[in-house]
Amino acid sequence: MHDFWALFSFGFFQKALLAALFTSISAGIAGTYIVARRIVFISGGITHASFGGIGLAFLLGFNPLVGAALFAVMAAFGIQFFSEKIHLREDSAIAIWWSLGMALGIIFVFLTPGYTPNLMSYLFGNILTVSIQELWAMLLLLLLLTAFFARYFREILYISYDEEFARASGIPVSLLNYLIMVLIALVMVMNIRAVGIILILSLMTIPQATANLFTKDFRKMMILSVVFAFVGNITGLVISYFLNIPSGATIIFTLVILFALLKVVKTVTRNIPVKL
Amino acid sequence: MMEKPLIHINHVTFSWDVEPVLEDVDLKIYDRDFIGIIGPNGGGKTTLVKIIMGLIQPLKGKVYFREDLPRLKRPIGYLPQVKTLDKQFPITVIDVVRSGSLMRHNPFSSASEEKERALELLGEMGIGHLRKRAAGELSGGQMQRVFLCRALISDPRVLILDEPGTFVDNRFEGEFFERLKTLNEKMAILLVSHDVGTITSFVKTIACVNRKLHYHHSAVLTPEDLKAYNCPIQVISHGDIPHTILEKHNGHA
Repeated sequence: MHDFWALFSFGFFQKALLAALFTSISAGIAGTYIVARRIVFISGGITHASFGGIGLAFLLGFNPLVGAALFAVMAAFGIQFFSEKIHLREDSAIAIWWSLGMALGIIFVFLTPGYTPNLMSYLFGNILTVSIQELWAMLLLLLLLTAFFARYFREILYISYDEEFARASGIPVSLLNYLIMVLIALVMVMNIRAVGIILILSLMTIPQATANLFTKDFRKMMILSVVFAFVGNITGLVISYFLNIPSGATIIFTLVILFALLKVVKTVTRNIPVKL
Repeated sequence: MMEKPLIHINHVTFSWDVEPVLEDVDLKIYDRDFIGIIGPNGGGKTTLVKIIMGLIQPLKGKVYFREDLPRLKRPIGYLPQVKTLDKQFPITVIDVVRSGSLMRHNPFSSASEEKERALELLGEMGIGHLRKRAAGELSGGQMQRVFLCRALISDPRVLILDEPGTFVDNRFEGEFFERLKTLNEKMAILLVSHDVGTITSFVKTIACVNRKLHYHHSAVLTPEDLKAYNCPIQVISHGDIPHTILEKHNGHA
């Protein structure tokens, strides 16, 4: 037990805790939107495409997260553009950007001279090595995302539910759709540090699925998702530290266990109404 | 002096590709009009509605709104054609109703006022008890009433209904059309339907849309009229409705 509390006095762990908090809030908000609109695979395409940017950054020697952000936003626009303007099937457009980004990343990394030691931490995440600068960037983006969703909450909800009616009401649907996708692309890049490209979708979907067990209200689902994401993040983080196993994977495992437990609890207590 | 129309659809032509869906359609909607728009499937009824709502742009022609109807925040209530929305989308019934008031001309001074109005409307439709339910849990008929509340929450000057009868059950149908009659005292109504029999006993005038629009300045249509308008519609006679659409009439303007 002494070890457990001592953990919180370590600088690296405090940073990891902050990162987990920021990640939980942003993934809780953005993920609820993604799940509600059923665009989980667009998000998958965007995150995987960002690997191309990470590879390019390795090759040219700049910050990999900047490269990832660049490619993620490009993929977000690319998918919209391919399906809206070129009338490609949307899932095909997603697959193209998904694999193109990965392919470019692999080529860039291969061309990078020498050994690329951090590559694994971008693929699978390592929340314990988050830097102060990265924390600031995360906080900034989180504030931007929260402000945007707070200001345009009703517009976002109505567009997501019935896009055509929203358009008929005069809501600037296309503009908001693009802005949200850019924000979400950036949020996902920011969360790469926590769980990595491969596992990021989990933070955007598992807490939401858990929240959805208890509420069918968009706003409450966002709040509950943040809570579940945070519980999963912290628990996973602590477990991974003491068992000395990778943090990203442990966090996801914890999230799934949490979902399964609550699903069982919910099924057993089905007749007891849960007041939220 | 002639009263100015609320909405003037001025010689509008629209096509998706080569064949025009609507050709030189001209229609004026005045205060307290109650126009039934009939026509065969694929005749362009919904396209016309979407042009009025600004969802699609006409190829030729334009839709004019009277000056007191601001371009944005138009006071038009809109009940779209039934389509499948995501049944699992996390939204409550009352939030669906409230979505009709954002961006509209008559914004409520507070959220609680808006909620109150939404509850009042839901109550009037007999579904007040469902306000906190997830929208996806409601039946088609119940949902149609929710969407009517959404169209009415902003107290519109014009109400546009695209096939509102699709899910309305027989029990509610009479009540529904009676309600429209009452609403018509305060607003113009444009009612799109493929079911001539039902609407003719309630609307004041009829427009037939089959690529072209023929305006009939009365609610009484004969099969000859329909033929003359090139409006191939099945004439269904409903026993419990007092007016018959087969009645002979001579003086249409």
